[in-house]
Amino acid sequence: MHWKNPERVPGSFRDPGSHVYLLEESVYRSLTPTAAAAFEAVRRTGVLDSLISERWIVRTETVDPGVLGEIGQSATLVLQHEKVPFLSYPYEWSFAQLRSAALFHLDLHLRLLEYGITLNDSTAYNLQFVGAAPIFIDVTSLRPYQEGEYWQAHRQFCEQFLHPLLLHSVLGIPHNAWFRGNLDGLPLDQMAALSPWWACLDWRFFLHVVMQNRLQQWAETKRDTAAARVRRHGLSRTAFMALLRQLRRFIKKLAPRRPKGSTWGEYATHNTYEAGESEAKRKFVESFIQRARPRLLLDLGCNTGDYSVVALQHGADYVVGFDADQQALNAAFHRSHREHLAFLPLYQDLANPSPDQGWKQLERSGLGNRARGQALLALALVHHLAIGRNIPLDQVINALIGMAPRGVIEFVPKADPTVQKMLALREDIFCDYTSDAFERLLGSQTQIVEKQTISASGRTLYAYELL
Amino acid sequence: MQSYLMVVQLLLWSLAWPVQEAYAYLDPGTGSLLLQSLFAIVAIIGAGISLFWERVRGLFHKRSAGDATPERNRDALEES
Repeated sequence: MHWKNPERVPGSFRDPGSHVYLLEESVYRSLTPTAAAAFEAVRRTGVLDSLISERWIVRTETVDPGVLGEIGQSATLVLQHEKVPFLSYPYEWSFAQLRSAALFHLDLHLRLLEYGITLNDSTAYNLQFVGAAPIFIDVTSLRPYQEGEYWQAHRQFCEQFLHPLLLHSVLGIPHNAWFRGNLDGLPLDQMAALSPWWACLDWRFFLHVVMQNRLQQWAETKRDTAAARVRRHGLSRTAFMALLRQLRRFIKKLAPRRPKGSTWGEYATHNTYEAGESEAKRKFVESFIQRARPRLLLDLGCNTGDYSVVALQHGADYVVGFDADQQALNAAFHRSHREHLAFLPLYQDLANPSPDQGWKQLERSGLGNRARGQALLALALVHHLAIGRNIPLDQVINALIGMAPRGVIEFVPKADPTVQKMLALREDIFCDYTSDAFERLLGSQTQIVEKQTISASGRTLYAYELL
Repeated sequence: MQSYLMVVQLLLWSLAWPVQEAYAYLDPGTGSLLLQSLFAIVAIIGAGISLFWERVRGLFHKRSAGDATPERNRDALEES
């Protein structure tokens, strides 16, 4: 049997017990003897099979170690995992997604503890979304629970889930930029420094932020005393589970702090993006999707997901939407969850997309490496990049068509009220921003297979295919 | 009443339980571990107060069947 060389996933290094490899579109994991023993112990309880069949954990099966060639020979056990349709990171999740992931993580841990199993860590990167459903991807995080042990990953849970949620909930600051800047989340001391006095009136906030930080500071000055106190006592399983449940109740009630007068529920009806021409646009998208039938569609500037839903209804298998509007993303996520859609909305500023970053700048992959669809929609987007962010029109077109070989791009001319509003208080320096220039630039690199003007102001939809 | 006694018993037991060295590649943070040991104590005090409160309530009215709903089930009800 001949196998290609497996490629080790660069971000898979923190846990020395296992390493992840990609080989011909499949995900494999090699396990050391310690990790293999823990995996077998977990499997014997039966909880792993239950969680896999209920879609809490990705499909996992043991395979012939030879599949990984020489690497497999030195591994005690090799697992093959299901590949999720699109890999996303916590700094790309909306508040609603991060909260959903946090609750799921706690629920999973509570379920595992009932079977005498616990989790090694609480990293948010071990969770992915399939549509709006969270799923756990790292089976080697599971290991037998030892009576009396502390929750080793409590601080990590706080920094990667609780603090980013509190940042938005208490201070009204979305977690995305902070999390992207520090891949391990929002550190305890920084969260404590940001905390307003009134937030401490909530005893759970006080406990997990203020108190934890004070204890950490005290421990740093009295290391030996602190270590002795920690070693003196343990935490029973009952208290462990009570802590998880208490955090769950706390997180479940968190909501993003919003500007006065705005609510999620009203957002979809109050938006003014393209009210008049939505029907013509819908028909154009329907027809395009029926022709393209993409497995993965990218909806750039997805808003609350109206056209993602149209695409799913007419032949797209899976849609990943991107937007920078927090309220729209929360609404889109709730919609996907409510209607069980194969639609994953993600936070993304397309003028400053997620970069390659982390250790050796390879640990977390940039958007450019992940966002490769069979098709894309870029509706009411180009003017935000070309005029809103001063990106030259040819570069906007190049970036878009580089993400998918076919798609629909909308051009909104200067005569349109939206662009007029954008130019109302600034000098018009965009002499190259015209319908003719757009069509010429797009036509020079792609074949324009369909074109339709859908508004009196001249908004035009172009369906392209790469030459 | 029995469940509260059980909680108190288990939590007291937890304080007497020696800490276990678990396999972990993660630095847990001493502040977090100290907080958890405090949490166990606070939970005992909380359980004690609940126990006392139940007794006070018991003096005034008979306990209804609904009060005995386990925490897990209450969580499920909360979800719906």
